[in-house]
Amino acid sequence: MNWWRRLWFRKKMEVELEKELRFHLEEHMAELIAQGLDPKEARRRASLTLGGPEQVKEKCRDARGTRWLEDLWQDLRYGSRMLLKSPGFTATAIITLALGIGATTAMFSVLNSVVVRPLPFHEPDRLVMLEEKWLPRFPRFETSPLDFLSWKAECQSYADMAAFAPVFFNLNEADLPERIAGARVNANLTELLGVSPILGRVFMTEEDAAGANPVALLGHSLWQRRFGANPQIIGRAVRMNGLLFTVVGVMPPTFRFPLDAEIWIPMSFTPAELKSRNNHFIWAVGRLKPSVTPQQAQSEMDILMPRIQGVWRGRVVSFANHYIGDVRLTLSIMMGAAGLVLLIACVNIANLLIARSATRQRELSLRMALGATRERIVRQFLTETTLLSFLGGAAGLLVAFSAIALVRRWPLPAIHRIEETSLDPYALVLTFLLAIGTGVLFGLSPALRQSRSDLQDALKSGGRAAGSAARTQIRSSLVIAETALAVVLLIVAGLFMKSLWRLLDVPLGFNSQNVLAVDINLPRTTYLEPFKQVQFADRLVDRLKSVPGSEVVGVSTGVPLLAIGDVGIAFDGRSGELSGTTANYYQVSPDYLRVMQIRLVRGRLLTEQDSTTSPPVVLINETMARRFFPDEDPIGKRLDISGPTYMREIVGVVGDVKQESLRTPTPPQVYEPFSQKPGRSFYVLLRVSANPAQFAETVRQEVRAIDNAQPISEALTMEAIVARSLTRDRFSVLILGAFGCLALILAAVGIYGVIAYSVDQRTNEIGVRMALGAEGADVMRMVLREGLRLAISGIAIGLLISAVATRVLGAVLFGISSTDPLTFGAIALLLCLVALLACWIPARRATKVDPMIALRTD
Amino acid sequence: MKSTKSDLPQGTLDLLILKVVALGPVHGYAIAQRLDQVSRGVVQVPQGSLYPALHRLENRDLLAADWKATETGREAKFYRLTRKGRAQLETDAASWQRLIEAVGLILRMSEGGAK
Repeated sequence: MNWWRRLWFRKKMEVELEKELRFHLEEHMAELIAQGLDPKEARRRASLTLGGPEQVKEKCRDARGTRWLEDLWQDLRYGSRMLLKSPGFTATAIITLALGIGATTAMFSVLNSVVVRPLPFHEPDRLVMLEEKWLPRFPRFETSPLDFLSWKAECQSYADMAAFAPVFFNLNEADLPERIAGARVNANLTELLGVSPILGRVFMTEEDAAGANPVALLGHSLWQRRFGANPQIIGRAVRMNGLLFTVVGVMPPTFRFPLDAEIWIPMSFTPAELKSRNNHFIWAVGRLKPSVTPQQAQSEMDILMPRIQGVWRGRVVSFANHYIGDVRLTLSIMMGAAGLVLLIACVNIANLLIARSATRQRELSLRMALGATRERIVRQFLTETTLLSFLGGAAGLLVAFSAIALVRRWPLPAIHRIEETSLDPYALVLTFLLAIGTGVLFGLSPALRQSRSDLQDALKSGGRAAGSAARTQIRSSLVIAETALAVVLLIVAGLFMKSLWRLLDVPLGFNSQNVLAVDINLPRTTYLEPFKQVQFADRLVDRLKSVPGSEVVGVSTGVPLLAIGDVGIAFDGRSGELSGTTANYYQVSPDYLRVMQIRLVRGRLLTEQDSTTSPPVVLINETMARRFFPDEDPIGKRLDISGPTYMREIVGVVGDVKQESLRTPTPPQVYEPFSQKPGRSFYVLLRVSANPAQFAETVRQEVRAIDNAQPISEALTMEAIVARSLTRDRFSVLILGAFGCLALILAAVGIYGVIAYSVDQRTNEIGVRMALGAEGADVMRMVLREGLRLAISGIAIGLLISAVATRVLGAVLFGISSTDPLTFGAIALLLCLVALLACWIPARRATKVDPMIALRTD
Repeated sequence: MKSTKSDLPQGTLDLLILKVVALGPVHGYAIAQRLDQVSRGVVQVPQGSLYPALHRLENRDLLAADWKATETGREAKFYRLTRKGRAQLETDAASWQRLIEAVGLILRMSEGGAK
């Protein structure tokens, strides 16, 4: 008998079985009638002897062997029918599962991509960044070639070491100049990192020397974008910064070390760079020997540095810490929030299932009375719950996909590798299992607990059997738990929101509206001499001043919240106390301060008269004035700035400007005239009447009008720059806010469910009360009070947990304490209101109870 | 309704069925009747276990079934022995014989042990 046939011709087989048994029955009957029995008696006797037909059939079906499959199919159909019959329950359950699973999976996928996934190097846990520090002002700083070479010669902890320096190039290809990011690297860097080129070769040691033939390695994206992924690229010459480089290789797409670099040239230390030990401009990478830990390497460095350096110390940082160190806390908080949402979702599912089991009590008892074995019933419940979980999981997958697509579409620049987020299958499976587990646990327990003896009671009372008291208790506890969790999540979200609010209130020190900042980098080859730099800047400012719509134009080497350099400062007549003190250093054209509308506090601003022929002058900010001249007038005092040093006179004091971020307090800041101290890299800033972003193209054209080969790189409005500095905070608020809303909705649904059920159960009692004279308002108050009681228990627990748990947020919050009473209070109030709202509908329904009907029904 | 347990162990019922069917194609009721008659009422096959057994044997390809008309004109499911079934019958019957002889020997031995 064919397995296949048995499966497909099931219907036919059922018919045949029926026929066969009926035939047997009738034959037996005929025989008994022949023996003289009366037909009715004959039928009865024959039926008895044969046995219960359904049970015989069941046994025959068992014998057929495909039982489990047929049962499964039957269960699925029955399960789907039951789910469709209660669309409210099914929809709520699926949505709840979808949100819980989707949110957690998406969050986990992001975490995986950013933090957990190993970096694309060979054995990245063996790699360390080698830097220098000079506390307290410079916690991390570049190292110098001489220091690096000393490390290479004397340190024992490393299998190999290589230096690199990020550099920007003006690419002059096909008459379209473009500024690209790149790096100077030692020839052994790629090998140290364990990355091989996909075309050609890497640098040879001979090429990594001063005066060697200029060669370059192309990055994959550059190769595709500007050279059409031409396989014949090897040996071709590329013009950058006015020089020709020969391409020797192309790197794989995942290699963008150190900072989204697209092109690499050999480090080739020049004799000038090797002159002073204090020429800090390079970083270094080391590969630790197999048995050496970063801590051991750091100790070695701590011993070595005092010998070779005066004040600077070395820093050994594992790659993991370097890339994701500061974002780990934020992401962990997000992960925690997602976990809470999942937990709340599971609690909700449990609640829904328990409620459901109450309504299905009758059906259960009936089926058992008809002869279903407990095993069979349990199996059917299992199938139904699994079906529900699968549907929820599928919906969750959709949610996760959408969320991840959104993250990829608008990746946050501040978080490394976030744009590479892809769905993490493990996360999906894990959350799925958790959801299914909850479903199984709470869906099955009614089926398991049912015993034969309660059958009668269950059938009679139709759902209000014993055990419902325990059920209500469990449900109430679950709702209290989920309310508490929701409170915790909402408080965290609230704290972040308030923190962002405080940040947005921080005075910038400048007017960010209607200002465009454009990044210009003049190549060394054509703009080596300072006067050429000044000339370019002056010409550009002149041209841009006459553009319609432009009001003020200025130049600066530093832009608030975007880029800045630091210098050491010393005051004439004071020494020693200031070592290590540094200031933000701006080289500016006279109008810059007017573009930014920075306040003048004392003295004067810089003017056209301050040039190379007039005495050197500077402006200082209020912080510097307050710190170093608390009781005297700084105007007229003299100031020394590191490299090269000479005295400059302070002619004015201006307002503080937020430079590093809105959070960090403003350090001393000093402004020097660009004409006296120009540079090759600077920003030109325009204050316009409106729509600053549209002037970017104009600036590009004016720049090219002066120098055809000169590109601009970034053009950003100041408003965008300010917003960008808050990206991470805004991201946190967005995500936590979303999770918080989810949690709130789920908690509300949970409370609603329990209260609605309770009202249903207490219909009798309400009827009695109303008959005895209670008004609608009294009933409503009763119901609302019950709901509020649940909510308040949950809120209280939630507040307690939050008070302890939020301490970990201290580092990330700004301007408020982690136990900010206002936030705590507001959230408590919010949840009370939401709970009241959730109870409203059942409460109203309770008042509509007709005492007569209520008393009659049971 | 609870079903009564068979007096016969499962394997024995199968053997008896195979034997009855070996004598010629027969339907389920006839098998039950046969067994009752031949054993003179000793072998009481609960008819509720008969059909599951028949289906099981059909499952294992020891019996094959066709729907045919009876003398009364009604359609019934007739079972016949397959080649595999015949082989199984011989094997099982032989085992059963051996078992009976062995049990007989043991029983006789116990009686004579008092010697």
